[in-house]
Amino acid sequence: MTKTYRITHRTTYSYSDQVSASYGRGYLQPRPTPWQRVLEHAVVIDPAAGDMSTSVDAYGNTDTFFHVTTGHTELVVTSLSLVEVDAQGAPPEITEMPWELARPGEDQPEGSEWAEAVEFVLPSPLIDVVEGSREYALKSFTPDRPLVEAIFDLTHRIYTEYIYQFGSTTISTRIPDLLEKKTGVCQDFAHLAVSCLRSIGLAGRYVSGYLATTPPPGKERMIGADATHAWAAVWLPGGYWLAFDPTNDQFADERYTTVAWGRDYADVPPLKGVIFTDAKKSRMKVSVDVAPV
Amino acid sequence: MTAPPQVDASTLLDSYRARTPELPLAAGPIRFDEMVDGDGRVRDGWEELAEGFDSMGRADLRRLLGQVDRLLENDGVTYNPIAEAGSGSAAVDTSDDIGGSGAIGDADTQPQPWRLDAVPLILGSQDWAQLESGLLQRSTLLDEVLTDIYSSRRLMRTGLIPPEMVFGHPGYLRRAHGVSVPGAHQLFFHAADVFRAADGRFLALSDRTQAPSGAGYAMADRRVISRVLPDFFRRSAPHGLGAFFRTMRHALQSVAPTAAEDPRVVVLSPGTHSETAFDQAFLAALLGLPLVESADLTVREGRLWMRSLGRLEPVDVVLRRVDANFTDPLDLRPDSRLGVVGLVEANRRGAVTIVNSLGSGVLENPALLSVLPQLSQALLGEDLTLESVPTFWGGTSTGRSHILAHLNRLVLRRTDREESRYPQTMSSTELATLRSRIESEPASWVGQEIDQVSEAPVGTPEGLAARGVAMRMFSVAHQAGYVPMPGALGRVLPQDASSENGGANEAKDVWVRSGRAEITASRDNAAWLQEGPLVAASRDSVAASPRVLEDLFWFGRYTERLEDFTRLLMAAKERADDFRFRPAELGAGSVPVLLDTVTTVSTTFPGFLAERVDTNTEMRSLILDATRPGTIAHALLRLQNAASGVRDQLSGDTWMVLAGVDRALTELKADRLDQGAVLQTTHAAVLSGMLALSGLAAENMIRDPGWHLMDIGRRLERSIQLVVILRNTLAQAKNPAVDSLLIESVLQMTESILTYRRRYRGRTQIGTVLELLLLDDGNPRSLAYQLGAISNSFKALPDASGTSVSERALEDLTTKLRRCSASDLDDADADGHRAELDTFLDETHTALRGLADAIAAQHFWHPSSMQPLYRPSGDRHSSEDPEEERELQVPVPQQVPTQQAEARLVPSATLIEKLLP
Repeated sequence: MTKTYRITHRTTYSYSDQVSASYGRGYLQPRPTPWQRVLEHAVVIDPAAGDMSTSVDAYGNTDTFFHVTTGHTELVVTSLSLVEVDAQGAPPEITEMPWELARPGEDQPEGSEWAEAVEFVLPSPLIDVVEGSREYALKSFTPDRPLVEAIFDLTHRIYTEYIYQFGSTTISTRIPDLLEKKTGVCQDFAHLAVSCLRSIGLAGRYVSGYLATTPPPGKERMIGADATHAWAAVWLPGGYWLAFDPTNDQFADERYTTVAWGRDYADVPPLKGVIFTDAKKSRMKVSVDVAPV
Repeated sequence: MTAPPQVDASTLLDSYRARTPELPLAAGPIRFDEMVDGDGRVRDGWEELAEGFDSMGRADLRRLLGQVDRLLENDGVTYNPIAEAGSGSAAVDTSDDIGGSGAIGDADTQPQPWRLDAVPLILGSQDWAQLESGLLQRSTLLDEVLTDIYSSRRLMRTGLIPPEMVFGHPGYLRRAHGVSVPGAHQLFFHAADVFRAADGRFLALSDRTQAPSGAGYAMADRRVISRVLPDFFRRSAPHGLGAFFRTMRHALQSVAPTAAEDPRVVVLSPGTHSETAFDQAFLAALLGLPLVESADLTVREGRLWMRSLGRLEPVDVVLRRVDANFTDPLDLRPDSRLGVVGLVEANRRGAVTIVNSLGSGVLENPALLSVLPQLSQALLGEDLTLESVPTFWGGTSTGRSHILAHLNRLVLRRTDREESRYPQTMSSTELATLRSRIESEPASWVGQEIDQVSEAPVGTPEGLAARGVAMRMFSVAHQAGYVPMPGALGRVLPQDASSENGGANEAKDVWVRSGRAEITASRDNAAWLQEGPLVAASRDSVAASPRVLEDLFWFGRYTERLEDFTRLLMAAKERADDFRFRPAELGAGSVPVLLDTVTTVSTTFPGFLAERVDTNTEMRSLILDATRPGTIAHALLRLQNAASGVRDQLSGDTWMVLAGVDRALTELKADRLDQGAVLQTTHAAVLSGMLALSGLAAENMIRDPGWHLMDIGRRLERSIQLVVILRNTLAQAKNPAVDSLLIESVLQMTESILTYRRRYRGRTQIGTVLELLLLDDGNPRSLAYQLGAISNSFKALPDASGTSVSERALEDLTTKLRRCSASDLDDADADGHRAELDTFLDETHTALRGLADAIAAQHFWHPSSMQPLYRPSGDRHSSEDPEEERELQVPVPQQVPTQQAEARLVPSATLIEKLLP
């Protein structure tokens, strides 16, 4: 079933002192995919950027570069998108094959686009591939188990065995810490799932985007209560990717708007940048609204 | 005395031939000898050189070695050793010797003298023909591979390159995908490390593509050897190297973005503490290009600009000597302080070309050597002319099992080149550890079979010895193909494979001989008159970048500080010697005053203020102890450092002068029993060195903003030294005998004694001394004169306004000085305290320091407080508490980038100033 969303994603940075220049790069523009169409998109920066441009990165994501040259103590980056999203998936004959056959390698048939998937089997800056993730993964990935089943099981185990706890982790939280503390937020769970995939030779990628939330029965949908979200995807022979969300115990469907994917968070942060200032403190406020149209 | 060398009647060549062959490292064939064949015959190309050395005695050879060292010192050829990340012996692994261009030395490491063997390595015409075609073929092949990796990736898709070799290598930069260098090639500058195996074949040990170093050293080596062996050089007529650098310059201009007319090219260096800082600066000079550092550049409007006295000049091409990962803290390593924010973006838009391209380091993966033959067949339809050493990659099952089965026949290297291991020299425990490390991440290792490396004669004090040799060859992309450097950076390998770095840094000049040599050599020396309209003077704006101005300012200050402090030391020593054996005499009281002044002026506390200090020992320490701020040796280091940052602005003779001063310090250091005679000679040498630098500055430098800042630095320093000395010696009257001796010393160290005697007819009075040293604007040593000179330089600077903070601070100083009267300053109270003088000098000192700060604020680079947009944390995906205040943290720089940063981090000159009374 196709859904249409109008998405407003606003990030506000406030600084305790004047910032003379701000250079930034953001992954804010939803990417077109076979199951997703971007009807409208704009990024608005206040104060206005003296220089701004978009480019396509090595993974096909569109990123936005900006350089604000006006002095400021507050910077607001707003991304506005109108997208149409279908359910996503892969043919059952592929998702149901034994998971061992989904390892990218020379034994994959011609045209299966395995070479580029190899990049997603290797460890990446934020995702260590450790014995602990392998042990964790093998409980779900028993020999010859159909891939989709194993993924479903892994998703469910992370969802039930890990506690979603805001503030329990930071950008520098590594996989071994996660395995030990068993708490985190969505991008930690996505990282963990990807680490598990890689530990057994599967290709896993990190996906950044938005999730449309449904209000509790009888309640109005609260504007701005949504958030940026992250989930994971596994490579399948033939170049398909199966996306799943360990934070919410489900496969990604038409509620998931895909913005960008990469090896881990560091490849596709919604915003990063360098500022020139003597300010000692900064505040960041993020608001996301995914409104069904 | 050392014993006289044994008299050896045989000639150098005979002894070389008759040497006992060294035991090979492992069972293996006898090493190839570069100079003589198995029958003792001199090989093709070596005849003239062999004959020449044969006619030399051992004494001649020793003299020659000394000359080489001296010329290298005079040219200021240095190398900054970097603590190696990996361990293991250097063995034949030459590739890592002058490797990582991003490596930065410790701020306080002293540059080491470059070491060069006196005997060149000859490549005959046949050898060269083979090497040349082999090198060019490798360049061409690697160029195609690089192009493919960052565009269509066909080679990975077809399995010719295992994807892991690319994706798993730190040199692969995802940000570089889709960015290309204009023109026919993606690989701009290529270096290959090559040696000759026992069977006489040349083999490549590795390829350098990140930001190859060494071409500048090769030229520096050539300049030295051609001067010490002029006859041999003429007779052998090796290919000249100059044409290669001219080609490189053209090539750099040809890769500029098409929109650029008259493209501006810069050489981007990590700074003077980088491992190969000399090579970078010298290469820039050879190419006639400005040497810039991070602080000189900025990105605006999507373009790269160079700062120049408040203006910005566009830059079109960057010859990159900073490792790619460090070039942009926005898109690459956020902790880098060696790059420019936004550089990747400007590069991606095609507004600036960077060579070697960002991401070119992926070709440095040694695992690539294992698939190069197949790639050569697939892409060029040819076999490799210059083969690589047999290399096995742990990323394939066959490679892995070969490595593990033949571990002790191989040299093991990590694919990121951070580490090399030599199983032959390892204990069984170490071997087991290595084995398990390889097993746990096999794709991060290669094993290489390294053959017996060929030997060549090297000069030693005892005669010609045989040592293993290797060389780094260079080629540059030009028009449709590649142009090789007809020469190389030769390397003498350490004698003992298990020794760490022993001799690893000794270089060799490489002489390429071929039929074309004569023509090229003569063309090299010819001056070519250009026709056509007059060329506009180049926009010489780098001379005005804040970083350059700051280096020149400190160059001026340190030169002056060294001069003034040396004069003070001389005067204090003279007095101390005078009264050494008559301490009871009335005038002996001048000695402690002068010694205390020495300590106070240099802030080398406790120094002479300590109880029971041996004057001679402290005097030596004040010259020699480079770890002690305030000493001559310490100031010299800072002076050399400032000079290195602006090598392209200074006369080449600067290095000769500095080398002479260094030699004097070395002699003093060696003479541990010196009772003061050598010390005196050292004082004289430091003084004459500094005078020579003043002379160079006065006579050989264009009066551009850089010169003016340097002169301001010098004048400011002289003023400060003067007021501190006067305050310490004259503010408090002692007894007439002591005071008159102090006055004499002060006049001596301020070079004003003759004038004083003449002008005041031998009558000594404090008031007249102050008149001459403070108020007389005709005395080039007076305070009034210094302030006048600073004022003139201020007016000459292009951004002079007359109202800036520094100009006003100077104006205040001048006014105050003008209001002084010598007779008032002379007034002393009942205790002999000259209160007015004391206050005046104290206030003037504070004001001078304020002036220095104002100049720094106005003209120098201020390390901007660069911070992340926001420090991301675990809450970034949550809406539960979307607002949170965080301390902005400046990431700790991993590397100390430049002299400027260093001057602020270490107890710097500025700090010392603040400590002065």
